[in-house]
Order: sequence, then structure tokens, then C-alpha cells
Amino acid sequence: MVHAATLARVYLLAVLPCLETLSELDPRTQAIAGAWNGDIRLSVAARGPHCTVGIRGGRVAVFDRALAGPDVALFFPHPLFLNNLFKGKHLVVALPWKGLTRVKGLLVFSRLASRMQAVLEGRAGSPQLRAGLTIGLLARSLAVAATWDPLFKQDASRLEGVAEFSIRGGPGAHVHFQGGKATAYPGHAPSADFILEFANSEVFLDVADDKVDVMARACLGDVSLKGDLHMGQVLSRGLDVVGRYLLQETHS
Amino acid sequence: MTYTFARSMELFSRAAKVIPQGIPGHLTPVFTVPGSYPYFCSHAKGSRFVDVDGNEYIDYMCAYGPMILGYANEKVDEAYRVQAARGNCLSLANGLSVELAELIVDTVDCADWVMFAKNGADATSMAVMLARGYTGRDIVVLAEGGYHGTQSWAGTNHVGVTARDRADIVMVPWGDPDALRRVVGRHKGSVAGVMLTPYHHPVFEDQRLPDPGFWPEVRRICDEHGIVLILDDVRAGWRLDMKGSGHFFGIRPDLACYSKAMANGYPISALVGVERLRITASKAYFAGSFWCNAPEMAAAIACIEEMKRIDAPRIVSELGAKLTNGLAERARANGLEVVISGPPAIPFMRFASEKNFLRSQLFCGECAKRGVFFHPHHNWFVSAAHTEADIERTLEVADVCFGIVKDRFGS
Ligand SMILES: Cc1ncc(COP(=O)(O)O)c(C=O)c1O
Repeated sequence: MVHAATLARVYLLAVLPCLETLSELDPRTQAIAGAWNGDIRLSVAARGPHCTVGIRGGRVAVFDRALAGPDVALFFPHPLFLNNLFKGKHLVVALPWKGLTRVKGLLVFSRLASRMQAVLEGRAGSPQLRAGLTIGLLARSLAVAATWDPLFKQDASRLEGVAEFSIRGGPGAHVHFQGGKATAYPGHAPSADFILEFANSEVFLDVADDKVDVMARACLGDVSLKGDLHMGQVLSRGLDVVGRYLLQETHS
Repeated sequence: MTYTFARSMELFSRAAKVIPQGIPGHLTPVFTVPGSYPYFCSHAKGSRFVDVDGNEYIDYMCAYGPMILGYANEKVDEAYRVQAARGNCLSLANGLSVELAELIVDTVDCADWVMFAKNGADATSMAVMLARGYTGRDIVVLAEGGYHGTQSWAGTNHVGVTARDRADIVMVPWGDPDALRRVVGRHKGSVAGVMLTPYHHPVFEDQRLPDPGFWPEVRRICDEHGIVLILDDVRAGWRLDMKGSGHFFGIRPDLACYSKAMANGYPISALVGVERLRITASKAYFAGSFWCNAPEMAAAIACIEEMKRIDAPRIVSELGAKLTNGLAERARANGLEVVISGPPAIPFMRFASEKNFLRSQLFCGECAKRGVFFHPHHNWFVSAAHTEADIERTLEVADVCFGIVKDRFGS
């Protein structure tokens, strides 16, 4: 069951930050972003979530809050409206109460989003680029689901410690669980309690796409699970939950 | 020289193609340490097994509990063989079922009657149904972190289990009678049964023995509210006390479930009950195609008689104490502190300075590569076939492996 308000958080706080990584690693994204400088703020209802996408000199920075004085401000009265925008259903009832005339910014934003989607879906960019993006996306989505998904947060609230997801010799991300809250960070953790490591990008992407038997691959050495395997069990359920959010099936 | 596992890996590559997970369930190598453990067993005798690469291990998992008299125990295996030659799965009940039931009623403190099945999960499921049937109520209380099998009501699985499957299950912390009282009060008149293990043996956590007042208070709560008290003695049964773990901890449950050690590895389980539940049991339809197989019953008779003859609970408890005291000493000598919990016959060990099991995984993996089979996250089992020499050898290996942990992690 996908919860609309949590899905909106996944979009704003887990999916959009992929633009940051993408603009660091992908020249094509840098070229698109280079066409405009400014801030776009997205807000869902008055209580949030909010997020601000700052585009400067071909780089994108994504903030998990409403920054003051954006060039474009998109307001979604209900999470469903934001979710429909991201799902490409075009039922956008966003009220650009500021910056209606800054069409260029919106155009650049929408091109960036298309590029991101193409890379995430494996239609553009290298597998390494997709893997780098996806590992951060999964960690952030997991943190959102652990904090907000009405069912999963019950399990996740008992987790304490750090879970790291990484590709051997490559990118990683980690999630810090404490006191019922989860926060995702890029990169490797200085000291992790549970470590899920993939032998290479291909294995990781196969797992992310739910194409392989992870338990079997772990026994064959392609995936390594170490440390607090109880946390690992809970997170494996969390990754199933995240998968449902990222597949964008919403029922509420 | 430490062990290598080429043949295990080769077999596993084939397994992964035809069996989801390759090795599913509790035997999955994911929960030991892939790379440091064997995956497939070739044969076993006494306290030891040999993997498909020819490496031999002193085994402290005892097939996760069923092995208590030693692998390939001659008396039990002979009883099985003789009956198998006379008939296995038959069109009528076998007289052995009567003999076995009489033996269990004579042996187990709370058993006025017995019903047989195959797995522990069959017995726990029958117990849940009987509690509901007897009381006409729906709710069953279980303890958080408890294990009663993989049935959808039991809460172990998450694939294909709906909220409705668990709608009438309420969880409480094990060992907390106040929490139980609150839950029973909140669901007044609706609780059919309380199912608990005799002591708490979760995975990934220290085990917990009952406080002195715990079981009497649980019994009182159940009696006050007309609730059926079910003891899940599948794991601990006959390792603590031949009369059942209820007797060991001074509690007389209404229903109790047995399996694992019942036939030294042959598949059979039993639900036993007190007199007042007999009529309800007599109305239920519980059956399975293989539940009346005679050779398992012969094996169970031989196993229970042998456990009684040698006083297996005393032997495993004494050996377990030697093992756990020795491990704690060797750890200390290496500048490490371990926490050992639970009864000595079914101990659980972890390193005091961590909660994430990284040291345990290294320790147990290194022990496995040197021929001592421990599990890093699950309780261990001691059998009556373990010898003093086994324990000595185990402690020598442990000494080396504690040193490796110390080198890698410091204290
Ligand atoms: C306490 C307890 N109850 C029930 C079961 C389920 O038994 P089985 O695996 O034979 O179905 C187990 C198995 O480990 C157990 O430990």
C-alpha cells in the first residue's frame, strides 16, 4: 500500500536530490542546467514537505526545505497533485503563485527531470552513472519510508545505528536510524552497523530492478551482508516498500 | 591450514538455478558468514558432521535442535530402520502411536493426552486452533521476538501475509507479566490463548530466563480470564527436563508443543494437553498424509527412552556449562568480554562491546574454518554426544579465534 503523503516526500526528498548527483557526474545534465540560473521551490500544502532546487552554473543543489525568495514557487494543495505531476499524469494543480512568467526555469527543470528519469530507467547514461544515482535514491527513499510510511515506520522505529549500501570500489550511501527517525547521507559511513555491499554496478542494478535472487547472490559472493543482519532483515522489507513507492503505484 | 569450500560453492551454483535462495529458510548461509562456512553437509556421526569438501566440524547447532543423542545414533536409527522395513506410511494407524502416546503421557508433566504431527509449526498451529475452539474466542497473545514457525499467523514471514492473517494476534514483550495483564484487560473476554516459549530465545538478542515470579503470574492471569496457556517447547523441549520445560520452570501449561529433539532428527511433533482440553481436541480434525508414519514413531520411542535412560538434560546442561564457562574464560584471557545467555544446554554468545555482531561474525566464521560450527546470531545447542574432548578442542580453536577478533577490533 502506497501512502500519498509519503510518496510526495519520496519525490521531493529522495528523487529530486538525484539531480544533484547527476549534475556532478553527467555532462549532458550540466549542459541542460547551464541554460538557467535560479531557484525553484516546491511545496505540498502548508505543512510540507518542501524542497528547493537551486540551479547555478550548470550545477544543481537540492535542499530539503523551503528557501526564501525562489524564482519559481510551485504550490500543491494536496500530495496527490504533486504525485500526479511526477507520475506524468499531467493533472497538475500546482499554483505557481510566484514566477508565472519564469517559464524558462520551469522548462529547464522539466528537461532536467526527463534526463534524470531516462538515466534512472536505464535509457540514457552508463550503468555506473545509473548505479551511482540509484544507490543514493534507495538510501534516501528508505529514510523517507522509515520515517513516514505508516506501516514500515513501526518496524523501522526500533532500528538504531547506521546501515551502509555500497558498490565495491564505487559509490555508496548510508542511513542513520535513531529515535524513530532516519536520515540518509551520501558516501560510505565511518562506522556502519549493517553493510550491504554489491560486487559491481551490474549486480547492484539487477538487485535494484528486483531481477535477481539476492539471498542466492549473497551466498555466491556477489552481494555481501555484514553486521546487524536483523537490521538487514528489516531494511530488506523496507526496500520492498521503497520499490512500491518508486514504481509509483498509489492507492490513496 | 583453514578449511576451503570449493565443492559447497559448486553445488550452490547449481542450487541457485533451481531453488529460490539456493538454500532457503533457516539453513540459508546468508545468516552464517558466506565464504567462511560450508553450505552442504555430506554425513554426520555423533557430535560431528563432514561437509561436501571433506571438512569435519564439531557441531554446536545440532541441526538447529533435533539432534540430541548424536548424529546417526544407533538405537534410534535401528528402531527407525526396523519399522521402515515393516511399513512406513500405511492405511491404518500403527500400534506404535499408542505406545508413543503412553510414553509421552508418562514422561511429560502436563500431558494427559497427545496428538501427533510432523513439524513444530503443526503443533503450534493446532494449539492455536484448540485454544480458540475451547474458549470460543479469537485473540492469541504471542511474545515479541518469539518464533513458532512460518505460518502466516506466526509473524515470521512478510511475503504473502495480510494484515487480516494477523488481525487476531496481539504481541507482548516476553517476561513482562504487567504487559500481559494490560493486554488481556484491553481485550477482556476475547483472548483465547497465550503462547509463550518457556524462556525467551529470540535471534540476534540475548536469551532471557524467566524471573521467579513470571510464570506463576502468567498462570494466574490465564486462570483469572479463562485463557488457554500454551507452552511452545519445540526448541527447548527435553534439553532442560524430561518432564518438559514447564516442569523445569515450575509451570503447568494447558497445552504444550514438542518436536525438535523428540526423535533425534526424524520428523515428528506432538501437541500435548491437560484433561480439560481433551474434549475440544476430540472434536477437531487435524491430519496430514504423513502424520501417522510409523518409523518416526519408533524413532521417537527409542529416542525418548534413551534420553530418559542416560538423563540427557543433565548431560547437555553439564557439557554446556563447561563449554560456556570455557568460552568466557578464553575470551577474558584474550582481553575480550562475551555475554553468554540462556540455559547452558542452549546457549547464546555475543561480544559485550557490540550490538551489530561484526565481532561474532568474525569469531564464528574463523571457528568454522577451523572445524567448530557455531552460529553468530542464533542460540547454539549442546548434545549428549558431545564429549569432554570435543569441548577441549573447541576451546583451543576458540582461543585462536578470540585472538583474531582482538587483533581486528581491539577489545
Ligand atoms: C520455539 C519454536 N517453535 C516452533 C518452531 C517451528 O518448528 P518447525 O520448524 O519444526 O515447524 C520452532 C523451530 O525452530 C521453534 O524454535
